[in-house]
Formats: sequence, C-alpha cells, structure tokens
Amino acid sequence: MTIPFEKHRIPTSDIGVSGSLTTSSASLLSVRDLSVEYRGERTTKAVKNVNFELRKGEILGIAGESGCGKSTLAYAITNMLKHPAYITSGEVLYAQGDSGNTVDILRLEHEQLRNFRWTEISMVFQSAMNALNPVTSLKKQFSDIFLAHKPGMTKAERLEKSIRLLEMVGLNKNIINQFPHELSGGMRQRVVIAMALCYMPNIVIMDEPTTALDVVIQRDILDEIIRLQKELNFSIIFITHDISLLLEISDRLLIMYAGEIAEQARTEAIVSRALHPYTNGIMLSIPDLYGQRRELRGIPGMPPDLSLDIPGCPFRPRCSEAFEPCSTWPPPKIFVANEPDHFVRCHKYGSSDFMGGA
Amino acid sequence: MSDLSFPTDTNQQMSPNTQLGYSALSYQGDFVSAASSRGRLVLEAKNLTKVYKLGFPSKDYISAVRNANIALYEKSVVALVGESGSGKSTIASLLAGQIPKTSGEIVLNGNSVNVKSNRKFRAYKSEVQMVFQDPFASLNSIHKVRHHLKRPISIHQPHLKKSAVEKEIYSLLHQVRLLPADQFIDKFPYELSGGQRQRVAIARSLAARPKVLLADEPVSMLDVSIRLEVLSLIDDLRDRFNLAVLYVTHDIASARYFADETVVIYGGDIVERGPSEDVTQNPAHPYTQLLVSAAPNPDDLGGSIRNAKLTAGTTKPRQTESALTSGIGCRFTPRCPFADRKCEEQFPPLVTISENRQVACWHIEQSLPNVSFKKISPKSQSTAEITLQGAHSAFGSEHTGSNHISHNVSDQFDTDGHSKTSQPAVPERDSEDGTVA
Ligand SMILES: Nc1ncnc2c1ncn2[C@@H]1O[C@H](COP(=O)(O)OP(=O)(O)OP(=O)(O)O)[C@@H](O)[C@H]1O
Ligand code: SF4
Ligand SMILES: [Mg+2]
Repeated sequence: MTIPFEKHRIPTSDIGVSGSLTTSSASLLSVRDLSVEYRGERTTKAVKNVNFELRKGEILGIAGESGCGKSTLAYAITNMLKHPAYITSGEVLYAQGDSGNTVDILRLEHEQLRNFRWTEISMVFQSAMNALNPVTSLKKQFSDIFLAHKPGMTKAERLEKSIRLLEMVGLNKNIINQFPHELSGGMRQRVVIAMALCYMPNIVIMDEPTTALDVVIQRDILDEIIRLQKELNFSIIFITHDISLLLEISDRLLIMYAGEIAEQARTEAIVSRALHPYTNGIMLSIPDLYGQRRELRGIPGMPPDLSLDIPGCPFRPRCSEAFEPCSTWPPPKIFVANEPDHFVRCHKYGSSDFMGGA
Repeated sequence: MSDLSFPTDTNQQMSPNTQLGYSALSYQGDFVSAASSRGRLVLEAKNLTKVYKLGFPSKDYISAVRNANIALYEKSVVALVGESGSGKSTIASLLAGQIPKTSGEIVLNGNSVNVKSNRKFRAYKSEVQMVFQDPFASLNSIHKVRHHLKRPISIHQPHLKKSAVEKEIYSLLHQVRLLPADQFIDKFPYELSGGQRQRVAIARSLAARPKVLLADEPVSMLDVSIRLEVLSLIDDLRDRFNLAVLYVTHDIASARYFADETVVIYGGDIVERGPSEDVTQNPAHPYTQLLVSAAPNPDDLGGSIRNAKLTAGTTKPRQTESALTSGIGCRFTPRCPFADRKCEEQFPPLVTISENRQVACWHIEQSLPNVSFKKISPKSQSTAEITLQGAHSAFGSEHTGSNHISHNVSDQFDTDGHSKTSQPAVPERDSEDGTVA
C-alpha cells in the first residue's frame, strides 16, 4: 500500500483535534469528545469519545452494527437521553443562524431544548412510523405539534400548513382526516418525515428511517428524502446498519464500531480505499446485484460486550490483520494525507513498522 | 431510442402470436429447474394453494398462495424472494406442514404427503425441518443449548443411549461450528450472539437428520457482518448432508450469491423463476426489475437517487390486499408500468421462456431486451419510452441505468388517478452523473 499517512498519536482523547484537522467550510454541528454510558449493575460504555462535524446541506451517514451505539449517539446529540444513560464527556456545538453564535446543545435547559428540537434539529426515530398515535387523526397530530410550539397560529393556518407538509412529502392532502392505522407503512413514514419538517429545521437526524419497509417502498422514501433535502437544503445525519444504502446516498460516512468511530471518510473513499479492517470486512460481507460476483467473506466472531473493559483495539478478536500492539494499546486516530476528511483508528497505519518499512 | 422513434419493422407485432403476448419468447421444450443439476428431486410442491377466509363481517377470501410449483433438489438451494405479505413464508409453512394447504399436492421422495395421518406426518416433519427468522424468539430462554439439542435427538432417535445422545450433541455443535463445543453446550440462549443462536437453531433442525431445510429469512435479523457466516454454514451443510434447501428471503441480492434457482413471488403468485444469476442480472418480469432496481447499488455512488430528476413523489397505497381478494388479472397491475386492459382482466400464466426460466407477464416482449419490439405502447408515448428505458437499462451493461426504472415505475403508480408527468429522467442524468468508475 502506498498511501502516505500523517501520524497523529492522540493517546486518550481527541478533544479539539478534529476541529483543527477537518477544516470545514460551514460546520453546522460539531460533536466533540462525546461519551455516553448506561449505568446499572454493569456500566455500558455505549459511545466513547466521539468527534465529528456536520456541514451545511450534507448527508452524513453513520453506519454500524446493532448495539454499536448509533441510536445512543443520536439521542445524545439532541440531548434526549434519560436515566440510566449519562453523558460523561463532551459537547455538541450548534452554529445558530447567521449570527455566528454557537450553543452547546448539551447545556440547554427544558424549555429551550424543547423549542430547539423542532425548530433547529428534528429527529425521525427508528420506530417512528409505529410511534404515531394510531387513534388520533393526522389533522389532530399535526395540529398538536403546532399548538405546542406556535400557539399563536389560527386553526385555519394550522390546517393549511399541515396540508402543505403532506403534499410536500408526496402525500395526498385528503389523508389529513385519516388515522395512522389506515395508512401503509410507507405512507406513515412519509407522515413522520413531514412532521420532522414542520418548522424547517436545519438538521434532521434519521435513525433507521426505512429499515422496516420493503425494498421498493424504501427506495421511494429515500428518493423523497433526497428530493426534500435538495430542495430545502437541510443537513441530514442518516443512521443505519445498512451500509450499502449509505454508500449510495451519503456525502460522508462514519463507520462506528463498539461505541467508537473506526473510520471516517468521504463516501467515495470508503468505496475505493477503505482502510479499517472492519470497514473492509463489512464491504466484503454484502451480497450485491451489480457487476461481477465477488468473493464474499463475512467477519468471524461478534462485536464486544460494551460493559466490559476492552484493552487495545475493540475489533482485535475479529480482525485478521491484528498484530502485537492491537491487544494492548488503543489504536491511534490516523489522518490520511491529502484527504482531510479521512481518518482511521487502526494500528496498521500507525505502528512504527508501518512508518519505518512498508 | 431510435427503434422507438422510427417504428419501421412491424412484422413481429403483426404476427397473431404476438397478440397473445408471448410469441417471440415461448420456448417449446420442458422447463428444467436450475437447481436440478445438483442432485435428486426431494420435495415438490404441485399447484400448492392457500386461501384464507377473512374474518367476520367480511365474506372475502384471500389467496395467499396460488398454484405454486416448487421443486427442491438434493444439495441445491432454491431462493423464494418477495416482499412482506407476498406469500413466501406461507409457502414455507405449507411445506413444513405447519398449516394445512387448501389445495395442491406436496410430494416427498416421490410419495404424496397426506398430513392427516399422524405417524406419517411425524416422519414427514423429521425429514423436512424449518429454521426461523428470529433467533431470539425461536429458542426458549430458560433452557441451555444442551437441552435444545437433546430434545430433538431423543424424539427422532429414541433408541439412543444417554452417552450416545451426548455424543450426538457434540457432533451437532461441531457441524455448525460452535466451537469449542464444551464452551457452548452449557450456555443459555441469552449468552449467545444472534449468529450463534441461529446456529443452535440450525443444529437443532439437523438433529432430525432431515432431507430438506426450509429457512425462512434465516439471516434477516442478524448483523450484516454475521449474516454471511450463517449463510455459508447452510451452504456448507447442504453439501455435507445432501440437504435440499429452500431459502426464503426479501433480499434478492443474497439470492444471487446463495441460491441455484431464484423464484420471485408477488401477491401469492410466482411471477418469475430461473438461475439466480440470470434472474438478478436479466430480470424479465416488471416486478423483478423493480426489485432489482430498488436495491442499493454501491457502485452507483450517490448516483441514481441523488441525481434523479426531482419530480414530486406520489403516494402509493399498497394495492396488494385488494389485489389478493379480487382474483382476476395480474396482481402486479396496479404497480406495473406496462399494465393494460388485458393485464387487469386476464391472469398471465407462467410461461417457459428458455430451458430453465419462466415468467408470468403479458408484456415480456416489452421488458425483455433481446427481442426487438417496436410498437408504441397503447398507453402513451412516454410510457413507451419508459418501457424502452426499463428494458434497456435493466439488461444493459451500464447498471446505473437500471435505477431509472425505479424512479419511473414509481411515478407511474399514481393511484388516485391524476396523470403524472412521466417524462423520462434519463437525458440530463446521463450527461451529468454517469457511472463512477
Ligand atoms: N436503556 C439502556 N440500558 C442499558 N444499556 C443500554 C440501554 N440502551 C442501550 N443500551 C446499550 O448501549 C449500547 C448501544 O445501544 P444503541 O441502541 O445505541 O445501539 P444501536 O447502534 O442503535 O443498535 P441498533 O442497530 O440495534 O439500533 C448497546 O450495548 C446496548 O445494549
Ligand atoms: S488496530 Fe489491529 S486489531 Fe484493530 S483493526 Fe487495526 S490491525 Fe485490526
Ligand atoms: Mg438503534
């Protein structure tokens, strides 16, 4: 391999580093050193020292296996975690409006936070389409959202806006009087997306928004999301275990493993030169329909139990390329030269062997 | 495109056979399953049908499966692909003897199976084993792995002594590579990962020494990185145990890699079948084309979706249910870009188009590329264009194109009747994104 690397050894935490290295044009959200744990008999460290930026108008994909901390991260960013989850470090800086003001979302209090969530950042949850109240008409559910945030709106205004939102996500306005249980899964998911866009937020966080849907309907919803995103120019954090979907729709990609970001890169770079053995393993695990049949490999073993202390690299037990330092030292975060957006957390690219000889 | 704009050669469409829809394509010989080359025929479903009566007050019936013919051969994998509610699990449950069939025949090793006789039924059940989707629900959490394997062994091999049973348990753990077996035998299900549980479930089904394994979405609840492991295990076991495998899945890409024959089912009807590579690379039925085009394409980085023409989406209430009750015509009609009157009124039979491919569609000549078709579709000019793109792209070598189908096809599904601007999205796309090399 001949990719030149810059080496940045950051032994314990990466505070501040990502900001200075990923020189972004218009960063909307900056997540710094974010850590979350679930407390109980055993403490689960679900998110560990995570750093990343979200830029204006981009789709940032977060991919990872079940239990790697994706949803926890999403809830943490919006400051929605409840007991037994605790944020143990970090900040989530949001650049508000054109004023240049930044607020730390994690420091917002109740009322501020509630407004903030719908107007600046909204979320589409993993099970959102089932979360709609089945016995309340859509009209009432939309109305309730408006009442909660803009009590000044008249009834007619609320109705008009609800209808506009439905039409915006490709639904017929007539369904406004219907109940969620009368709609198909795909239509319900569109409704949920419409609700997330009620106040035209700058950021929409989507946690597995299409996972429960059939492939074809999933594709329709994705088309819709992308169309809206282009039209309205909001930013999306798109979370899913389905990396092949993210390869197609996201601008940049974070690969999460065991609560950490194993690799971050522009999506093209993940396709053409993924560096982390886990990323490579995943890429070789997905049956595809296009091009020549490839040799698929899969990854042996399973992700680690996050309630145990993992010395060294969390991927080591499953990694075919592990060597001595992997079992002892947490792998450093290595930035790829000439690719400011690309980093990988793996000894392979940062060991003295690598620097010296190969 | 040029063909469409200059319809000169009209010979083909003038022939009376073409009126029937299949002429240019029908193949005279017998159909031979792509799975048959691996070994002996083991289990066969003939005209298998399952009708459910809807509950009071409705007097309607839903045919969940209609006249399905499926043949499973030793050492081979047949994939049954379809969306949720298409009837694929119903077929698996019928074959497993879990639910009674409405009509049709199930033939195991040449003998027609009558599920009413208890003794024979038990024998049947031991030869035909099922693995379920949810590895978390299928194992009782209060029992250790040992117990889960011991039970089927003592049921199916009651003569075995205690020590022989223990030996058999170890051997099963070996077969599914839960190693070292010592470590797994005394574990509870909650101490295992999803992949490991699914292997216990597979080991349990092997305890009966079955001839047939019916795997209903065996990996869809598992993580991507673990799925392959379980699939390769099944792949390996079919060789070692001469198993005939039915692999039920919604993921047509995995069928490409894993199955000898792929059978596509829509609304309870088999709409297409053939060698997996052919069906996925050259889908013939419009529904298969839609499925293939909807799958994410990692090579098409940000391609289809991101650069797709930005037309307003339409809501597509699912027609499946009403189609399931109505019974006449092709059930894909409401979603099909090629659909016409005939499709609504007449049921398209499954027709053999080559030695090991069958398709049920009145308009295959429109969707298949290697037949020149030059007529303007009766619907409208633009529909015909879409037809051509669909046919062209789904089969061409530039796969970025196939996603046009999904876009256009979706736009066609406007069910509340107002006509869509079905302008093809192709021209500007081609100039702008292209294939990512
Ligand atoms: N309420 C809770 N109490 C204790 N542990 C929890 C709780 N919720 C999640 N966890 C643990 O935190 C880790 C991360 O969970 P999280 O839900 O964020 O994963 P995820 O990546 O979203 O997974 P999935 O893909 O299955 O949605 C897991 O190990 C999980 O078991
Ligand atoms: S640090 Fe070592 S164990 Fe971890 S991914 Fe890299 S090579 Fe594998
Ligand atoms: Mg989650």
